[in-house]
Order: sequence, then structure tokens, then C-alpha cells
Amino acid sequence: MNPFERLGLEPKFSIDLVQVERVHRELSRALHPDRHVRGLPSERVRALDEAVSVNEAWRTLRDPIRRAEAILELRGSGAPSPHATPSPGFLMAMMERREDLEAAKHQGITALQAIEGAVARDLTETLEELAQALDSASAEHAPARRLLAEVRFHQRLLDEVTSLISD
Amino acid sequence: MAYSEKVLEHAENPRNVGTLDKDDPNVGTGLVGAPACGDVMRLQIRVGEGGLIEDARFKTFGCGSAIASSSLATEWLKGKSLAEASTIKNTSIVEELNLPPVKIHCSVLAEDAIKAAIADYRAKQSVKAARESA
Repeated sequence: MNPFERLGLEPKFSIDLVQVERVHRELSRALHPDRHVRGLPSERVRALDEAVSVNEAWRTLRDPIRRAEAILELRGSGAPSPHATPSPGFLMAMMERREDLEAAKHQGITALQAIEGAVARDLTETLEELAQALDSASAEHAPARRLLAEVRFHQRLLDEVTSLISD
Repeated sequence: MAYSEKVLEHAENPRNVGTLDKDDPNVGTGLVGAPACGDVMRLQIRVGEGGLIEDARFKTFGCGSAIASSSLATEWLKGKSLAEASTIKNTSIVEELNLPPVKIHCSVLAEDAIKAAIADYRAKQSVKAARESA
């Protein structure tokens, strides 16, 4: 069962995470081992297996990158390979961002925060484009795969900047 | 992650870090990236009169293995012809640096960067040739 089905959802990128979390909580409660102590061993095992897969589904769906991968996998187009290379223009911009970050490391917290803000904006924008690409009626997978690769770059960079700031 | 001594040596003392003029017709620039780890690598070659690579430079943002792979690649590229350069395989980089399986993609990135730099140089040369014959 795919993670969307597991939580009773249509396979779409734009989902209401608050509502999905509620579904996850209700299912987890119903499947909790404490509620099945009087059940047959086979029922207890089944409830535990389901509880595990409900948790796994929730972990997949709440992470935008894994959610996008799950949709692409469902559509049989596969996730981008780890070496898939985005457009030269994007890589150039990424290189410049990285060079700015190198410089900001010596300039202090304000410079780092400015970069964090810019990368967070890029990430949000790219996620919006990815949502459109995945949820549109188009059967074309290439744009979504390219955007997913870009989201990964932004996310990795954002994680790095955030950890630099917290150090 | 325990790095091999060779990786550490290159990561701490990277060779040929820098930039060549990307608008120079004798310079080929390869820009590649790995979405999974967020690494970006720029590798440049300058080809001399005799068709040999006279200089190679790189700038890599990534883990120690990615830096070491590109550093080693620039060392190997200097003095080679383009034909020789295009035979450099990621497996040789893996061997030389003792890269563990989880870091093999770093060597693949370096091989891709070499190929991209050669392709960029050739594209520039064919544009130049077309302009001269026009």
C-alpha cells in the first residue's frame, strides 16, 4: 500500500498537513498495542505491522522531498537519480550562492542570516513550482524531476546555513 | 565517516583551486552537481597550442571526497591531450583515493565534470572555427 492510500489520501503534492497529521494520530491510536492486548496473537502482530506502516507513511508525506518522490514513483517515472544534473543556469546560481556563503562565513551572523533568508525564499518558490508541476493534469514528468532536484539543492544549502548560524 | 589518508591530504591541501576565464576560447568549463548531497563542482581546463591541457582548476563545494576527487582530477589533467583526458575514469579516482562505496558518486561527479569541461571547450572551438571559415 502506498503512503497516500495508507492515510486515505489522493496522491497529490498539495496536502493539508494539519489534517493528515490528525488522521495519522487517530489511526495510530486505534492501532496502538494497548488496545489489542486481548486480541489474538495474529491480530496483535497485524495491528503492530499496520501501526509501523502508518508511521512510515506519515514520515514520508510530511517531508516534501519524500512526498514528491512517492508521487513520481507511483506514476512509474522514478525519482531523479543521485547524479541527475539540473540546468547549467541553476548550477551557476548555486555556485554563486555557495561563494556568497563562503564570504559570509567571515562576515558574521547578519550576512549568514541574509543568505538563509534568500535560500529559504528560493526553496519556497521552487516547492510552489513543484506543487504545480506535480498536481497539474500534465503527464510530463521531466519538469517535476528537474524541480525536485533543485529543491534538494536548496534544502541542503539551507540546512548548512542554518547549522552555521546555530553554531 | 573515516576518510582515507589520501582523501584527507587532498581535502586539506587541495591542488589547483581557482578560476580560469570562462570567456577565453581556449578554456573549457564543466559545471556539475549532485542533488542528493547538494555538491556543486566547477572544473576548468585551458588547452595550449599543441592541444595539450596546460592548466586545470577547480572549485568544489561538497564533502572531503568530492574536493579530493576534483583536486586529483586537475592533477591528472595537466599535460594530457583531450583524447587522453576523456579516458579518465571514475574507477581510477576511487582506486587512487580508496573511496568507500558511499563516496563513489563523488568520483562520478569528477568524471562528469571532466567530460563537461572537454565538451564545453570543443563547443567553443567549433564556434570559433565556424566563425573563421565564414
